[in-house]
Amino acid sequence: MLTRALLAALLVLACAPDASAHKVLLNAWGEGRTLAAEIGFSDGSPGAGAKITVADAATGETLLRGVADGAGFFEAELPGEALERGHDLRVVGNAGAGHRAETLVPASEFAGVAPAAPAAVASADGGGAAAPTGLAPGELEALVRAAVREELRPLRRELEAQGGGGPELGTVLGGIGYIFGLAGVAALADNRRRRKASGGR
Amino acid sequence: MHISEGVLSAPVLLAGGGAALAGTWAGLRRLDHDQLITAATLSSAFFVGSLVHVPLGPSSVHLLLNGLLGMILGWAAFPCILVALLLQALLFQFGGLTVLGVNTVNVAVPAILCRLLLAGQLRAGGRRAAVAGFLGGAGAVLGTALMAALSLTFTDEGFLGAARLIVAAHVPVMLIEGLVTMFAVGALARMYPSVLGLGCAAGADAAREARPC
Repeated sequence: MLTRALLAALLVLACAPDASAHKVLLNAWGEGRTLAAEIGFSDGSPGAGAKITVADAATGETLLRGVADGAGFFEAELPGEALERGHDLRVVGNAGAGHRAETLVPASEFAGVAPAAPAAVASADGGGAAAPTGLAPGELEALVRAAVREELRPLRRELEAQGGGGPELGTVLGGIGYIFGLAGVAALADNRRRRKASGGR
Repeated sequence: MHISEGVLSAPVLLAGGGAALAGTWAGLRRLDHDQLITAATLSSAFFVGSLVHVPLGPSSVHLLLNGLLGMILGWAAFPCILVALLLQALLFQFGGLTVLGVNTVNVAVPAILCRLLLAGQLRAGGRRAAVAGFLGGAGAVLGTALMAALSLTFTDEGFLGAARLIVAAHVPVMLIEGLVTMFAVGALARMYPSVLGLGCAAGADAAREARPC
């Protein structure tokens, strides 16, 4: 009776539609000379105020330190020498209360990015009115890059939100199965021990 | 309440692992044959409970149910919690394998302490058992929050900073689990005192007559 009630409660819990998880998700990627990161929990809440540290994965040297904004985003420009060295970057996010995640950004994400800041990035903000013919090839490239990055951002966020959902029902039921299987093994061992004890007497 | 991999230093991890081994051994010795199915069911409830998100807190908080396990199973809750946390680490990537010991101790020890402190009230049955259930359910969550903060003492967060954050986030969980444990333990003390493992003489008189053990 009790077991049956508890099992029913379990099933209800397992099928709860807003069942969600408690895993720290950290994504980081290169956007030109900037390193961008997003931190959040697998239930969809952002890791606002989380501490983000970016280090050179090969030397361990800390390159950047910062705090994620209210939406869990972090963006900072990488130092030029870090880009020149071309090492992978280790990004660590700490959302407090023991919630930590880390991820590796391969150096290839920054391949082909000039270590020296192209002036075009700065002029892209105010230079919208300039005639296209007046742009140097480098400036045009930077403009396109910035525009595409802005356009892709919501798409990227959506993709990550889909991939980072809670565990699937099959996994949950599998875990419950493991637990009851273990209990069965324990019962078997216990039975055998009892039978031996009574048989020996 | 799961501390992630890479947060704690090696001595803290080792101490947690050792304490978890000792507690699991003690728990397995006290795990009675008749308790096995109750233990497995409660262990599954704990395993699934971490998926139930409580939307009231300032950050991401989920149910723990450790007080429920502790109040019903006593020491036997230790191996149950270890197994459930192991499966959560493997299947859900909550916490991690190196922090498994620390997380198990943080969750199991307060739950068992509550049971040891409140066993007398449970034995009394009736309303006192229900009140003990509430205190056990809420107290175990509070204890786990404090234990988690204690584990973070030697990180750059420090005990006080972490404790403030974690305890505040878990106030709604304490209330929910206090109520859940109150109803569960109250009903068990009334109808099936033997499930609580308090021995025959312990049950309320009416229950003993209705269901001799």
